[in-house]
Amino acid sequence: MSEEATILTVRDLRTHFFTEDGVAKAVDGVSFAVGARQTFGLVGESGCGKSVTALSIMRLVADPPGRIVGGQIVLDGEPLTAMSERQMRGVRGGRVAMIFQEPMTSLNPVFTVGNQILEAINLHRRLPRRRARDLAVDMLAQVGIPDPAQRYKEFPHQLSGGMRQRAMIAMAISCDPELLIADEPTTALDVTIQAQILELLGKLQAERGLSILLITHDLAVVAETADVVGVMYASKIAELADVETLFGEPRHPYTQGLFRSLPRLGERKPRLETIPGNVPDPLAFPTGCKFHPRCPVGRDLQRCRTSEPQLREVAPRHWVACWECPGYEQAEATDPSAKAIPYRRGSNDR
Amino acid sequence: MKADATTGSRQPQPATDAAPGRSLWADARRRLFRDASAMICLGVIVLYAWIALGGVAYEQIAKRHPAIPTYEQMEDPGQKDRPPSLSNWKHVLGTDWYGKPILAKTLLSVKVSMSVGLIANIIAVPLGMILGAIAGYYGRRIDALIVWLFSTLASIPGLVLLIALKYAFNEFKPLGLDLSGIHGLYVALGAISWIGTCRLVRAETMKIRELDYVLAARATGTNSFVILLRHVIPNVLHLGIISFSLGLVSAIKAEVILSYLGLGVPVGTPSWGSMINAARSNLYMGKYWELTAAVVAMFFLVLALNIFGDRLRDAFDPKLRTA
Amino acid sequence: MLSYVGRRLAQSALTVLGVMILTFLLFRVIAGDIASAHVGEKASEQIKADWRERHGYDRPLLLNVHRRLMLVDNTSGGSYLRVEDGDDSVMTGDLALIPSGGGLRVRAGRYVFALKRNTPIAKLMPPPPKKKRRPTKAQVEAEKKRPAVMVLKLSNGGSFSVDIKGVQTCGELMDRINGHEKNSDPQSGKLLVEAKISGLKLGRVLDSQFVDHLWKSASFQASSLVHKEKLTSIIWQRAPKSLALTVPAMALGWALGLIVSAVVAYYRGTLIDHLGVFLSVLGMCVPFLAYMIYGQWLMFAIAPKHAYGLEDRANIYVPILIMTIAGLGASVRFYRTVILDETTRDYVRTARAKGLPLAAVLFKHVLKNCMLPILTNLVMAIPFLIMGSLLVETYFGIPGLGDLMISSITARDEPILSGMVFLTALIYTCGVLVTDLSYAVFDPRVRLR
Repeated sequence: MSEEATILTVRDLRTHFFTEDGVAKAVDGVSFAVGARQTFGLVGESGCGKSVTALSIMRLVADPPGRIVGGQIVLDGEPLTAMSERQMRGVRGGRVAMIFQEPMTSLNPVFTVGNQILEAINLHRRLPRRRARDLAVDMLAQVGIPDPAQRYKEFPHQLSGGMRQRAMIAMAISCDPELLIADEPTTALDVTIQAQILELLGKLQAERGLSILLITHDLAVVAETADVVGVMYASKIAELADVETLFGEPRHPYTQGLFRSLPRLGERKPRLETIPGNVPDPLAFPTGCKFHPRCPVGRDLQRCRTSEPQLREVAPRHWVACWECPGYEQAEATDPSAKAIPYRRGSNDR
Repeated sequence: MKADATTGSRQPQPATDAAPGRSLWADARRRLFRDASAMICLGVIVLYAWIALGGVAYEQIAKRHPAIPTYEQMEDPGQKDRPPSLSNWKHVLGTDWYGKPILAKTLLSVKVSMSVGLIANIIAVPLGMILGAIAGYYGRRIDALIVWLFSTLASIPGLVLLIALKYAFNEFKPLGLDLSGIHGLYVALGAISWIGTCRLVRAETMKIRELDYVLAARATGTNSFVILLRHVIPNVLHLGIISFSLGLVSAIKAEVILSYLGLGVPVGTPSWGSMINAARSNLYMGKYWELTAAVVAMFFLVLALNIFGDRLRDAFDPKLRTA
Repeated sequence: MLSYVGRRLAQSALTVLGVMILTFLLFRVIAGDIASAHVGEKASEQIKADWRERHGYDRPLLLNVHRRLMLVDNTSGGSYLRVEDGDDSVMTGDLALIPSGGGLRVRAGRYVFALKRNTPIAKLMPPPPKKKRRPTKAQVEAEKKRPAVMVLKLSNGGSFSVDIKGVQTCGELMDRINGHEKNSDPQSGKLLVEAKISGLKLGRVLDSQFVDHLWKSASFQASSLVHKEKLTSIIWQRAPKSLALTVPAMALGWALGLIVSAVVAYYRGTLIDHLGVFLSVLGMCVPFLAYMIYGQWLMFAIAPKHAYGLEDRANIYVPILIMTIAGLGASVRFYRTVILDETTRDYVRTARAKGLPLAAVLFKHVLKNCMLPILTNLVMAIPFLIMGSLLVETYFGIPGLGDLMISSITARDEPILSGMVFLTALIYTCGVLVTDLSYAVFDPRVRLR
């Protein structure tokens, strides 16, 4: 597959939750594209809608109360949103796999690790029993678990946190998917284990041509691993660019605020900077630009208060949704999901 | 990394959309009051409570005014076993074997049921909470003792234990309290109900004990009693309320069964259980009214209590709290 | 694992001991005297005391370190020592000197702790019934004027009367008997009837009600006070009838409950779910008595011969059906909650993310995790199978163990009641133990602790 190819297209996705207290528009017009062998980092604070985006791609949003009300999701040319449940089941695990934040509760405590990997294999491949078992053990080895044959027979609670996450990854890649969605895979782990897991993901990507949609709130993780980054805020993407550009010249006030709030080694500051205020409640979003109540630039601006900016390509392959962003007035509202940004870390390293 | 030019001002910003904090109680109250079915059930319960109070008032008034018949005086052999009829408002639900109007009997029984339920639980629930908190917090030997206590009681099935207690209380009059009558019923029902509360509170206390705020309190040298009072009890209070509502239902059900067996309220006191007992053979003679009146009256009270109790439990469930 | 088993066994043993103590307190201490129920309220104190002695209810409660007033007949005649009222004073009767221990020539009174010469005589007599109103002055005067005479009829045929009026202490009584002029053998000068206080014997310490109760409970030695049958044989006869009722009811209720709740959980959120929950709640709130009574009436209307009693084996179907339906509401609610709780867990999400169809998720992943609470519920209910259903058995005339319990209450048949309650508690404790240990089988997390 050429480096230019797009594996996943998410166009104008809208996922709303219909609750007793009102409609929560958790994802409201999200568009991006992930390329082959690319790691796309979807970053944002808790509650911005990134996990819901991931679940929407897998069509695992709890219905009721949630529902995909608009938009399209296309996986390598095939529209996922239009598929029947039966077809979707074939996609899940077989072509798109997902790993979650809490490996302890995400694995069934009463079945062995090997059993659960075997289950995934048997769902998508027809292999004789012995071959399937060997494949499962091999998967465990590939994710770097020592003594995999023994681990195969063990239960989740007998493994450490890092190993459980590796086992989850093994389960996810056992059917050789094209896309791996990783929802906060390292949040629940120690920093050193975190590094190991990220390294593992990188290795698997190189070996298997895997695309990864990495969902996290941790900017450091994104800086380490992502090729392209989308910053989400309150159900929408605020800024979208390749990692070097984003970290080099962030243009959205929210992104800038995020970077400012990171403490840096060697810097002396009497007080850490924060973005004032809180993430808005999806049941009661502010009018106009959703960030404006907390925005140092647009807080008192009429336009920011009343109308919502769309994503516009303010620089080549750099999208921002902000009225006051330099270059926004003249920019065109091109579709960020039309084509994946062809950036890969290795080739254009800083 | 290059920081961009725009920097936020350094002054502390007023919290623009900071929502006021919502405690578990305020949240629960809000959820409960919004729930139509819960409010209807609460209304029904309050209605029954008023009827019960009315029963108490009626008896007091009837004692003093000869014109108004007390429960015993309602006997009227000339009117015995009449089917429900609209001719006489008193007989709208019929009469029983002694000629007493079923309507009066049913309404007066409410007092017995509710008072038994209330008093038994007022004894049992705080007792269970205190013992559970002590057991959960202090652990080790005190815990072992209390666990042994309630395990022993719990190993005898409820109804059997109740019957055994009533049997034992037949002539028991400690400290001047006559336990052979209705007081024995209170004590017996209370003795059964505290176990459930104690278990719940103990489990929750064991969890709370490990939480950081308790550790912090201990680190500052607060003594255990104060910790229990300030940190543990308020956080298990909601369990007590839930236990109370559940216990009320089981106490009412238990009283009816005991009275049916003749082991409950003293003879001559109106109670749904004794009504059912008196009326069970009447069904075969086509006399359905006494039995049905008691069953229906009890059904609605138990239904209201059950549904309300459910909603109460949901209202306090931290997992269902919205942000 | 072994230490866990050991700990649990020790805990269960302590609980069983606790139950023995509880039943002791309930049935022997608090319940009070049952002699009246068995020989009649109006029977004389003598007869009651005799009955109590025979059945062991007169022994001291905890440990037998008590003494009794004894009258020993030293003559060697053919018949036995008799102590009778000389007139209509009740004092002799109240002293209740009944044959005891060493043959028929010894009569002994009540067990009194620390009985000494100066113990007031009231302690040797039963507590006055509280019902009697306080005697008026006239009655007290009249009582004082009454002669009080104790007639001693010896085994050799002789007899003499002792004036015991105005006796205040035990010692006085003993002196009046021992010092009676006719109370000496003309030849040897020894007393014909000797009044003394029994001594303490170490071997008798354990002859108390508590020890007796412990022994009878643990070995199921009790016999009915009414029918003179042994507890074990009664249980043997009646248990099958109770089991014939409860086992099918429980099995049917469990299976039906599980199926209905699985269906309801599968269709969560739809009309089926709401309807199911609604009906379950309604079903739970109808009093059990109503199910029973209306159910039987219905049966009676259809097939009167099968509505009562157990002459025809088919008669048992109706109570089984009634019990099943009555319990359905609560079971469905409980199982549904358990199933739904499990479906919200993370591993369910993972399983679906792998591509597993919903039905497979339910049956493979969720069910195995649900089994734990569901089976616990079931196993805890097993002990109650034996007890039968108290209400159903009495109402439908099934002579099972529940019916036995009710009838033993009315008849105040203490050994049977106590034995049954103990049996229930024992079975329950075993059930809990089995459940806890079986957790280790089902939940690998426990196994490898």
